[in-house]
Amino acid sequence: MKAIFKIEEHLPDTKQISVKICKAKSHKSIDDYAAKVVTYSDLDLSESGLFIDGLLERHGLHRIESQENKQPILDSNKGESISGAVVLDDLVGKVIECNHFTTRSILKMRRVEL
Amino acid sequence: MTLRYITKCGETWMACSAQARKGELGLDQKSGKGRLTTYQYLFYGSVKYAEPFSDSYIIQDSKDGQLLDFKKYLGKNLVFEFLEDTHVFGFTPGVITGEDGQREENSINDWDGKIITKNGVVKIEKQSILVCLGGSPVVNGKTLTRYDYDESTSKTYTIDLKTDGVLVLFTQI
Repeated sequence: MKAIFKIEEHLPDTKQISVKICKAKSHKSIDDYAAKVVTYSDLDLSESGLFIDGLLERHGLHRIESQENKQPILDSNKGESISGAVVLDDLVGKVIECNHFTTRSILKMRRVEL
Repeated sequence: MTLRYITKCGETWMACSAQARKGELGLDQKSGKGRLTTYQYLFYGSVKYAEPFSDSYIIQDSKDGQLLDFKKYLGKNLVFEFLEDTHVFGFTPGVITGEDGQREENSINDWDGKIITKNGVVKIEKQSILVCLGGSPVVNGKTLTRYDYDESTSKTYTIDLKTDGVLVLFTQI
C-alpha cells in the first residue's frame, strides 16, 4: 500500500504538525481529508525515510484503516464469514469475507465457565 | 512470513501465538519494553532462541511437549530462528500500571505455569488460569478445545485428559 501525507502547518513551539494522510490510490483528494495535529517529538527526524516510516506507523495506518472502513461496499462485494472446517465445494460461488491481511491478528481465545 | 496472533484475556494476561516456516527469523523487542512472554508451548516444530549477540541459546522442540519457562528473558530482546515449520503459543502476564497508566518498574506479575499430566482433581486457591492447548480434555463435565480457558481464584477442577488433552495451569505467585 502506498500512502501520502501533506503537512498543513508546523507548530515548532509544541513540536507538532498538522497533517493529512490517506492512501495514494484514494478516490478522494488528500485535500478533502481532515488534518490532525500530531506530536513529532517521538519521530526520527534525522532522515526522511525514518521520519516517513515513523509517521505512517504511528499516525497513518490507523487513520487509513478508519478511512477505508467508512467507504461503502458494493452490494456484489458483500461477503459472508465462514468458520470451522473448510469444505471447498460449499464455498464455490459464494463471496467470502476476509479480514484485512496483516501479520498480526486476534488470537481467538474462548472463556469457558467451568 | 511469520503470522502472529495476540489477544488480551481480561485484565490479567495475554495469549499469543505465532506460525512460521522453517528458516524464518524473528525478533521479540516489544517496542523497547523487552520481552514480556513468560511461558511458551509448541504445538509443532522447534525454535532456537538467543539474546542478540549472545553465545548461549536454547532450543525448544515440540517433541518434548514442554511448557518452557522464559522468565529469564523478561524485559530483554530475543532473537529466534524457526528450525522447522512451527506453531508456538505464548503466555504473557498483565503488567502493573501506576495511576498515570504507565508501566511501573518490576511490573510483571509473577506466575507459575505447568502442564497437567494426570487425570484427577485440581484445587485452585489462588488467581489461576486453566488453558486448553490441544485435544479434547473434559473438565468439570465440559469438553474443551484448543484455546478454551477459565480463570478463577477458587475452584475445583475434575480433569479427564482423555487420550490427547493438553491442559496448562498458570497460577499467580
